[in-house]
Parts: sequence; C-alpha cells; structure tokens
Amino acid sequence: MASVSFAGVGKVYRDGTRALSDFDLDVADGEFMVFVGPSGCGKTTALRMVAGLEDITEGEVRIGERVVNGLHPRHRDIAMVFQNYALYPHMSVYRNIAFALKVRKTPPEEIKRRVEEAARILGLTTELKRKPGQLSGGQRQRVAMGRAIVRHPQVFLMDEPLSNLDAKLRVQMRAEIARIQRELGATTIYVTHDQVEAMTMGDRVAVLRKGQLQQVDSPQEVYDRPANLFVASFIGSPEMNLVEARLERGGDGLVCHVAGRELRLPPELVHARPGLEAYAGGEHARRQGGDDGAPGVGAARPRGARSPPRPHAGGPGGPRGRRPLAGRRSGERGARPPHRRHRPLRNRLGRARR
Amino acid sequence: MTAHRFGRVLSYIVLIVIGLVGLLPFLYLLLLSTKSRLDILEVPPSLDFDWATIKANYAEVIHEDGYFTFVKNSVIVTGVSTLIALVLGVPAGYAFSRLRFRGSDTWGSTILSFRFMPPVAVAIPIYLMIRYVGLLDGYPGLILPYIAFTLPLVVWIMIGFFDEIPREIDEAAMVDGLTRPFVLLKVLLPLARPGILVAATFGVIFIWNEFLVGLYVINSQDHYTIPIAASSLLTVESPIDWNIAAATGIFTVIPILLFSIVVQRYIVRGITAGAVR
Repeated sequence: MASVSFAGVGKVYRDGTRALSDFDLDVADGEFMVFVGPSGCGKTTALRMVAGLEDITEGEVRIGERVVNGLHPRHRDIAMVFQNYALYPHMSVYRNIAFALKVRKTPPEEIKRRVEEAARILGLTTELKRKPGQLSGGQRQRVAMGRAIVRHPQVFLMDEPLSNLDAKLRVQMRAEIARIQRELGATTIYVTHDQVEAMTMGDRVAVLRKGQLQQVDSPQEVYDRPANLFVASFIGSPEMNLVEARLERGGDGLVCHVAGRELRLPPELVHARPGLEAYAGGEHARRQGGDDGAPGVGAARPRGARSPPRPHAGGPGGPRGRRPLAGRRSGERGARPPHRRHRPLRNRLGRARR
Repeated sequence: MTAHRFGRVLSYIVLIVIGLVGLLPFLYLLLLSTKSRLDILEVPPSLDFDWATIKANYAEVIHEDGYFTFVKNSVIVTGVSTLIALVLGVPAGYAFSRLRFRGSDTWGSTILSFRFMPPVAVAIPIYLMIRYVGLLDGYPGLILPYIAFTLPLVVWIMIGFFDEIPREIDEAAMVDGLTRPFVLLKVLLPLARPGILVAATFGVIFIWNEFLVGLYVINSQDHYTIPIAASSLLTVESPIDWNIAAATGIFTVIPILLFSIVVQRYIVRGITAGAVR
C-alpha cells in the first residue's frame, strides 16, 4: 500500500478545455478517499491521471515516493474498477480475474489460490466458469472488483463503480465495497457524483467543482462546516436551506440583517470564525468578496465557488445587483435542520426566514 | 386478412422476386454448363440432362484448360494479398480508432475514398509501375496492387469495429499490465474477430474477381488467375464454346461460394454489429 499525492496538478485537454486546476491533495496510506462533485467537475480526470490513462499537463502525481507522471499504467501498480466494469467479454469470470496475474507471470498455483480467495470474498465461487454476458449487473460489478483485489495493488481506483446498479443493489454494494476496503486496508480513491455514497463510504471526502478543489475533510466535517456555498448546497440530503442576509458592523460587533430583522452575532461566534470579519459591510469587504470565492464560516480551504448558486427554499430569487455582494454573501449561508446545537446562528437565521 | 398478414405476404413476394433476380442467372449458368455445344442456344433450355455431356464439359475445363493451375494462382494471390492487407490494416484500424496523431481524424474518415477509385482508373499507371520495378508476370506484381486496393477497405471496416469496443477495455488491459500492441493482440483481436472476417471476406471477394489489373500484369498462362483464364476462352480463334465457358464460370464461383458459406454467420453479425447494440 502507498499514499497518493497531487501537487499543483492541472489538466488542459487538447482542445483547450481545462478539466482540473491547481489540485493539491494527499491521500494517506490505507485511506478511503472519495472524490465527489457534479458531472464535469474533474473528479474522473483526476482519478485517470493517477491511473496513467490521462496525461498530466501540470504538476506532479506521486504514488508512494515515486513521481508517476509519464509512467505507463502497468508500471504504477494500481488497480481500477471502471464505471462500465470493462470486463473482457470473451473470457470466463476466472480468466477475467486471473488476467492481470497471468500477464505478470505469477505462478499458476498462486493465481489459482488468489482468484479463489477473491471469489470467496466476493461470493463469486459458483460463477467462475461463466462469461460476463451471463451475469447480472451486480455480479459483473463484483467481477470488476475481483479483478482489482487479486492484484494486491498499491492503490485502488474506482470510477463510479455503482452508478449502473439499481438502487437496492447499490446500497448493498456500497456497504460491501467499504467492508472489502477495510479488510484489505488498501489506499482507495473512489469517484462518485452521489453525495450519499461520498458521505457514507469515505474516510475523507474531496469536493470538486469546475476543476477546483472546494474542500477536503471527513464527511462529518464537510457536512457540519462546508467551506463555501457550493459545498453547503451540494452535500447533505435533504439539501441545506440557503437564505440571503447582510452582515454589517454595528456597535461593538457584527450584526446580521435578515428578513427585516437584526440579529447580533455573539462575540464568541465571531472569534471562532476569523474569516467572518472580512465580509462585514464596507469598502474593504466589497473588494474581498468579489466575484471569486466566498469562504464561508469556518472555511477549511478558502477556494471559492465562482458564482454562488441561487438561494434555495424560497429565498429571494435574484437580487444580484441590489446589495453589495460582500454583505450578501456571508448571509447566504442558510438554515439547517435545527438539530446541531453548536450552530445557533444558523438556526436562528433559519427560523427568521419563516 | 389482417393488414399485418397482408404486409407479411407482400414482403415475402418481394423477397422471392429479389431472390429470383439474383439466382436465375446463376441457375441458367449451371444449366448451360450441362449442355452440349449444339443445345446451348435453345431457349428456353431443356431440362434433359446427359451425363456424358456434363462429364465432357467439366473434364475439358479441368484437364485441357488447366483449371487447377488457375485456381492455385487465384488462391495464392488472393490469400497472400488478403493476409498482408489484414496484418497491416487491423493495427492501422486500431490506431485510427484509439490513438490521436497528426491527421488521425482526416485520414480516418477519408481513407475509404481511396477505395472509390475503380481499377480501370489506375490500371495503366499500376502496370507501368509494376513494369518499372520488374515484377510483371508474377505473383508479387499482382499481390502488391491488390494489397493497395484492399487495405483501405480493411482499415475502414476495422475502425468501425474497434470503435464499437469500449475504450475502457483497453484501459483495463493496460492497467492490468499490457502495452498497447499486446492489448490489441491479446484482448481486442478476439473481440474484433467478426470484423476481421468481414474485412477478409470483402477483400477476398474483390481480389478473387479482379480482372483488369490482372490482365495487364500477367502475360503467361502459367500465372493466369481464374477471371483472366475465363476471359481467355472468349478471345481464342476458335468459336466460343459457351458450355465450356459456363462450366468455367461455375468453377470460378465454387471456391468463393464455399468461403462465403463458412464465414456467412460472421458477415451477417458483422454487418449488423453497429445497428443492434
């Protein structure tokens, strides 16, 4: 097993499309890292760069201590599970799973032992002689997993492996993949657009949007302290409510104007979130809070959403030019289900809207 | 009668007519090859068969005209040309389908246009070139131009077949430890087999029937391919023996017919491959 690290990694396709920019991330040895984001956010590109299936146009990717830019996939010691499984249709399940070992000239007894072990873990023992075409979707998915785990690779890469399964099976396989990953203790990068998968499976979650890393943290932290509006609205089910408000300096502290009411922010809240100050009304704040980035309360990484999504839950539709951006931004973080006690501000805001 | 049934009957009638149009000339040829020289002009031909005449006709083709030499020539030329065209064309098709290189898009889409050129348009330049390199009247002199004719077709067909195979299979194989050439050899060739057979069939049929280039390049009877040998029947001084010509025609068709029957199921699968998936 090994760690994987991205240092300033970027990807520009031949036609000039930028898929990923300035991507910095360390995946620890044995960690289950989930890349999540809407489609086209660059998560699959990032994964494929680790696999060596996509040229790295900027920066460096390391697996363990080794820089792997330019290294052929077969020399990277990785295994990958594809979205469409990419099984070899003309080979039996056994040969599919054994293929990589055979290519690497593993002794036949060893191949047999490992394939049977993988089949046992995945419940495929009775299917070994069948061809992929004769299997159900779930079984094919398992074969794809089997093909990865027999290898004992340094890193597992999974590209939306569950997206072709029906809902029930998906839940089941979700648990199973998480279990297998724990059992093998393998460093895993898992790409998904499904935030439920991201929240339930990963040790840590990396949220991407338009080729920019938004936040990396444990699922709980991402949920509790989203770095910006985008993360806040993307993560969590049901969605977080977002409400517009205006933050201003008033008296000896900050005052939040929301829904025609003034709420004084408790000093300890302001102290806990030093970024907040910058967003209080005034010239300085306006500059800070330009169109780029809205580091929210307790930002883990100040990489902003380029254009904030519209407020949800019946919030005012699009008064973009009406108030100073800066003032609006900070207020936009919205209400949450009122069960988290350490966020009194939001709860109050949430109620204030109604 | 319901409309559905009516449509069905109608479609059968149309199919039968089409089948007759396709088959009748061939059946007529078969019938002519069993006649004596005198009975040949009888219309409609009688269905009286005389075993001795049949034997005489076919024996003449086989023994006096050296039919087996021509078959041998045709098989060698067709086989070698097709094989080389496949060996070159299949990897080329793979490259056009998967890799990006300068001109890969343009060449991939225009490559078939080389095939639009009818042999008659290029037969004379080809003859001059073959003469220049001293390959007249021999197998290589035929094989080279035939490869040139077949290759674009093979490449074009194979591009289509490789495009049908998901790229992820290549990628999985590379992650599993293969380099590109071995991905093609070990994983994709078995998957592309129907395509290879389709390409081979079109190549074989074209080369087997090709006449003009062969006529220019080959001079001695030892090297005649079947179409040239068959046509030589028509140019000798003696009156044309239509019954012998018909028997030759039958012999010309038999090898290609056998080949087609063997690969038929792959051809059908191959032709519909794009449609069904």
